[in-house]
Amino acid sequence: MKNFVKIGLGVVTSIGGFLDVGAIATTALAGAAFGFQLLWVVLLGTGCVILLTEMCGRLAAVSHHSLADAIRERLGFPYFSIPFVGEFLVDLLVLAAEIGGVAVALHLVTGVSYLWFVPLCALAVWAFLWLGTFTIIERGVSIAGLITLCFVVAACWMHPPWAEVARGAIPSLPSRDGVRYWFLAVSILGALISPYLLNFYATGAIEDKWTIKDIPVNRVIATAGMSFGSVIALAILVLAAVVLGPRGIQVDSYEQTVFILTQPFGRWGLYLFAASLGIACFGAALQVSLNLAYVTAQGFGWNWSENLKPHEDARFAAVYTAAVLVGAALLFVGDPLKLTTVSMALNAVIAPFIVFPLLVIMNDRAYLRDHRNHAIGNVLVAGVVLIAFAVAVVAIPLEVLGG
Amino acid sequence: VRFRLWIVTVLLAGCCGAAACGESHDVRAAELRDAAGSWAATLRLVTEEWTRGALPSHFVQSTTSVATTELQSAARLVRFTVGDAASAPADEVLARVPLLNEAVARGDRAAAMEIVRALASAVPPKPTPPVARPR
Repeated sequence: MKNFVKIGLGVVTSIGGFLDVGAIATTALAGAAFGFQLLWVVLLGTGCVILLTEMCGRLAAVSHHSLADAIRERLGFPYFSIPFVGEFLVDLLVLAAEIGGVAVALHLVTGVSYLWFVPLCALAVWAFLWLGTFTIIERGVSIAGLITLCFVVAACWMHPPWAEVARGAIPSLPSRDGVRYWFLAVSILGALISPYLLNFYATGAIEDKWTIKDIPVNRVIATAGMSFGSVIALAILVLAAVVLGPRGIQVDSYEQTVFILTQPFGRWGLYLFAASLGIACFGAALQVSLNLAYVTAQGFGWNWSENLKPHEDARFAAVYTAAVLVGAALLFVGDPLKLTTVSMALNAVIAPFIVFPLLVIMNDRAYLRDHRNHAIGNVLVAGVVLIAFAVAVVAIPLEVLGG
Repeated sequence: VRFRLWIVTVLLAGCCGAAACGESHDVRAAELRDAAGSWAATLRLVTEEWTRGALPSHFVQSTTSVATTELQSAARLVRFTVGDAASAPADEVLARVPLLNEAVARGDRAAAMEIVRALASAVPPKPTPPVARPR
C-alpha cells in the first residue's frame, strides 16, 4: 500500500513537473510551423528522458550518489568541471527563461510589461526556496502543475484529425525550411532531455531517502510519469498545429500562443493559459535554482539539502540566492521567448557531456553492484548518447543560423 | 588528443554548415513577408477573439505593441541588407496598427474587424495545414 501511495505521488509529481517554459514554447513553435510533422521528436525525447531518469533514480537508490557527485568521484574533478561549467551556465539561462515565463504569465493577464514582474517573481522563487522544504517544492508545486492537463482537454475538444496526428509519430524529413525544422527538433529534444532534470531527479531520490527496495517504484515513476507528462507536450503541439498553423500564425511571442486555449475555452482560455504557464514555470524555476545549488555543493563537497535550514548549509543557500539574482538580471537584456529557444538548444549541446559519464557509471560494479545496466539498457543508452551527440553537432550551426 | 580532434572536427563541420546555409537576400525578403503575414493573421485572430469577448482590450493592445516591435526591427534589417522595397509587407502592417489601436480604444468592434480583414487581404499569411506529411 505504501508503495502504491509513493508511486501515485511520484507519477502525479512527474506529470505536473514535466512541463516547463521550454516544452511549452518549443512544441507550440513546432506545431505552428510544421503541423504534426515534428510529433515524433516529442516521442523520441520522451523515450530518452524515461531511460535517463530511470538510470539516475537507480543510481541514487543503489549507491546514494547523485549524478554530479558520482561523476566527480568516478572521473575526477578535472573532468567534472567540464559538464559542471556547461550545465551551470546553461541552467542560468534556463532559470532566466523560467522566471521570464512566470512574469509573462502575469503580463498576459494584466497587460503590464513583464519586466515589472521580474523582480517580484524572482523574490517569490527565492522566498519559496528559503522557507520551503524539498517535499513542498517537489509535490506542492508539481501537483498545482496538474492544471497543465487543460491542454490535453483542449486538444480533445478541438477534434484534431487523429489519423494525421498518429502519422506524425513516424519520423519524416522536412519538405521545406530544413534549417528551421532541425533547429526546432533540436530545441524540443533539449527541452525534454534537460540535463538539470537528471541531477535533480537523482538528488530528489536521495532527499526522499530511496533505497534498493525503491528500484521498482523508480521504474514505474520514471516510465508512467514521463509518459503522461509528455502527453501534455504533445497536446500543445497538436493545438498549435490545429489553431495557429492553418491561420498562418508563426509563434514569435507568447501572446500568439494564448489562442490555443482561447479558441476552445473562450475567456477562460486566457486565464487557464496564464495559470498553466505561470505554475509550470514557477515549479521549473524552483527546480533549476535548486539544481544549480545541488550541483555546486555536490561538486565542491559542501553540505547540501533543501530540508536543512539555510544557516545549516549556508553556501548551498548562497548559490541559489545568487542564481535567482543572476537569472532575473538576464531578463533585462534578453527577450524571454528567445532566451528559451537558445537555452533549450544549448541544453542539447551539453547533454552528451553528462550522458556519457552516466553511461560509464551505470556500468560500474562499485556503484551499481548487481543493478548495472543490462545489455539492452546499454545499447539503448548508447543510442541516447549518439542521439544527444548528433543533436549537439546539429545544434551548434543551427544556433548560429536560427537566431 | 583524439578527443580534441573530435571537438575541432565537430566545430569545423558546424562552421562549414553555417557558412553553406548563409541566407540570401531573397530568403530574407521572403522571411519578412512571412513574418508580416503571420502578424497580420495574429492581429485578425486577436481582434476576432476580442470581438467575441474572449480577450480583454489590453491584450489586443499588448499584441499590437509586440507586433510593432518585432516588425520594426525585422524591417530595419531587411531595409539595410536588401533594400527599401523589400520591407513593404511589414510597412503595410505597421501602417494599420495605430488605426486598430484607436478602434479598440473606442470599443468600435466593426471598425476593428474591418481593419484586420483588409490587412489580412493586403498581407496574406502562409498557412500550414494540420497534417503530418505536407505536400
